[in-house]
Amino acid sequence: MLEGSIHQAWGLQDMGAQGTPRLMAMASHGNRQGEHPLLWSLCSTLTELGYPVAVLDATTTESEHNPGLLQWLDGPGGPHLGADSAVSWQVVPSSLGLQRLCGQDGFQGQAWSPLADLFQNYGVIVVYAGADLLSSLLAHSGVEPLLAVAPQKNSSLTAYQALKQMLLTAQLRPTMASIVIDAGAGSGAGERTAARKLQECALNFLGYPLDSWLVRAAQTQERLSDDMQRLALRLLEKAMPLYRHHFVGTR
Amino acid sequence: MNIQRFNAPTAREALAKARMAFGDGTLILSNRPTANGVEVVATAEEALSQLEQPRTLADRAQAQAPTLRRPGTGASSTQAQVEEDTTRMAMSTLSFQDYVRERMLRRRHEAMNGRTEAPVTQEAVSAPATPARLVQAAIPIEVAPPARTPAARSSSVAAAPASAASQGIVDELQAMKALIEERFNTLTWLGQARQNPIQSTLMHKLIRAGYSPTLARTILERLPEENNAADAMQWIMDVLERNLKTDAAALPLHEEGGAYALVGATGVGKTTTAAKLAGLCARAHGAASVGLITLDTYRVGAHEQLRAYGRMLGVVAHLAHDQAALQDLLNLLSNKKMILVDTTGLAPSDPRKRDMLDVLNLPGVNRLLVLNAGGHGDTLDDVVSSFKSDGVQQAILSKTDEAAKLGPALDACIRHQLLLRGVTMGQKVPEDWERADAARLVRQSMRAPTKSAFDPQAADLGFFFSQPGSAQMGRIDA
Repeated sequence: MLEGSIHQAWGLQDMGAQGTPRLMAMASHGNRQGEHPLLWSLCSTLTELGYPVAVLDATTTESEHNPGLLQWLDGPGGPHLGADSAVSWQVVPSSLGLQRLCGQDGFQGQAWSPLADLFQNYGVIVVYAGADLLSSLLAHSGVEPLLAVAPQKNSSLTAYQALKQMLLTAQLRPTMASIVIDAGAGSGAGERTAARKLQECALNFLGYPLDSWLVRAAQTQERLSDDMQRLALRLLEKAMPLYRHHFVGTR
Repeated sequence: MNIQRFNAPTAREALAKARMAFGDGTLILSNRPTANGVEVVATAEEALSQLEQPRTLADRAQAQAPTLRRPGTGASSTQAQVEEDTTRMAMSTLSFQDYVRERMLRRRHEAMNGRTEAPVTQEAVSAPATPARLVQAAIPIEVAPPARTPAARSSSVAAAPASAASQGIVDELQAMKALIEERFNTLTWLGQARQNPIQSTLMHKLIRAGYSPTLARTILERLPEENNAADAMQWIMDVLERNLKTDAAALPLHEEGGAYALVGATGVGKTTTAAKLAGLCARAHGAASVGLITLDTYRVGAHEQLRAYGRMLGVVAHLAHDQAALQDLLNLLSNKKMILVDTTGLAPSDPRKRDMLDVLNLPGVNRLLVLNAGGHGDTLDDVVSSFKSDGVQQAILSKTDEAAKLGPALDACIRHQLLLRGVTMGQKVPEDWERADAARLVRQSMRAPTKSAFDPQAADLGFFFSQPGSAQMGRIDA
């Protein structure tokens, strides 16, 4: 009983659920001012929740000086969990690597096996990519990509475009979110308006009831964490488990 | 004495008029709504002090005669004045009746709450300007003679109450009669039971196993007389088994599925039980079939604990702060076979309990009361009563491995007619879970434990039945 490796939930070990990373996605549509803070918060929250996170950043291309997914797919090496003590999650340049995975003949679920092998020690893999790549990678997977919206007019337009592409071509049902700086009364009015308009457009033109989240930030870190935690748990619920040797993600 | 009537459209205005007439020492004798507003009858406190010494009507008539017989007034005006006085007296008497009734009710209330009534009586007797004094002076028939002691006068005032007070005394006498009858019945029954060695032994056995005197007596009263000792014991086991409701005829919880909120007192093992059920469901139907939610934002590490189990299972453990968030999550997880909601453990007397149960008051959410099988009978009674919900009460007995006696827990389940959905008998997740088996539980409860300092002796049984049978007793199928 006093053996260190035995605990009361030892019986759950044989279920094989542990060590299975989950894959979630965030759509990039050129609005980095809104997307990056949200992605940062998401990853921080997931880490706080005890899930080691790897971000596969398809908006950055791998190179010899900045190796990433492509190099890891080609040869030895791979992510080093906890290598950076300041940030316990890792961002991996993945533009070419993901395109290669996507371009494989007969791309199906099995194509995720290399990722499952590479990131077996991670709890969550976040694919941060454009709508076209996400549509190719995650079509009909049941994953709900996160779509960041900012008050700028251009942001609403590009967000709608990304939404439409993912919804119509890949049956991906995004969740919209925006960070609101809570600086007293009236703060976040722009974000709310942008979100509402996008919801109206999605409903009127696409017949899609877009789920919208307003993540309050700034005044208290706790509040941000609270909103973000609920959003992160929701995305986790819809995330796709990446099994190492077989694919069970399709729902 | 000067009693005046004030009419005004509102009570506030009528009171203002009275105050203008009598100043700060205004004593309101009565007020009533009229067709034109409100009528207030008032007098000055000083006027009442004149009545300090009891006087007869004749004395008062003599004293008032000079003022009544004014020059130039005839017999008719005197008659009118008398009638007016009579009316005023009647009104003041009515007001006093209200006062006495109110005071009596207050005294009864205080007596029922165990408070002494001496201060009230003293106040009633010694207060210089109370309406009680007014009545004592005005209506000799209802007033105690002056020679009587204050206590006697007080009791005389008590003798005058309205029918409500009399009814109260009758009720109390009836309650006392019922209590005495109950005691005599119990003693008679106990005497008879002691004379019957089989009944006596079985009673001792039931009490020793932790069953309540209420249940023990209810069962033994129905024991067929022709049974020998072994048959009688078997008969009792059968009765207990029949009355312990379990889900033996239905699917197990994790096969049946649905949304279940685990409620109960602190430290009974709600989170561990949730993890066991989640593990069983995940094992049978896959991790994607289970949803986990916790409402426990109070206990330090509660969410983390459930999340740790969730990670092992491959299930996300969500956190809900309020009913809206819970509803959102239930919608999100609506495709799951089983949703388990872990809640904050709360003592039955905790005022937050109501709020927590209100949060769970959502369609489709079933409550599973987790009861510590090792708990004391009174404690379990308290928990079951306080977490009572509409419809069938479903329960899980936890920590049966730690319980020295299962009798109290099974007794509570039988008396409160709980539907037992499962039993946990250890810490292992999910292994230490089993379906509720009435026969086995009853056998286990009646298995003679080792000798204990808490075991009653045969001679002590009278003490166990010394309390009136006030505990809740459901229907027994004997």
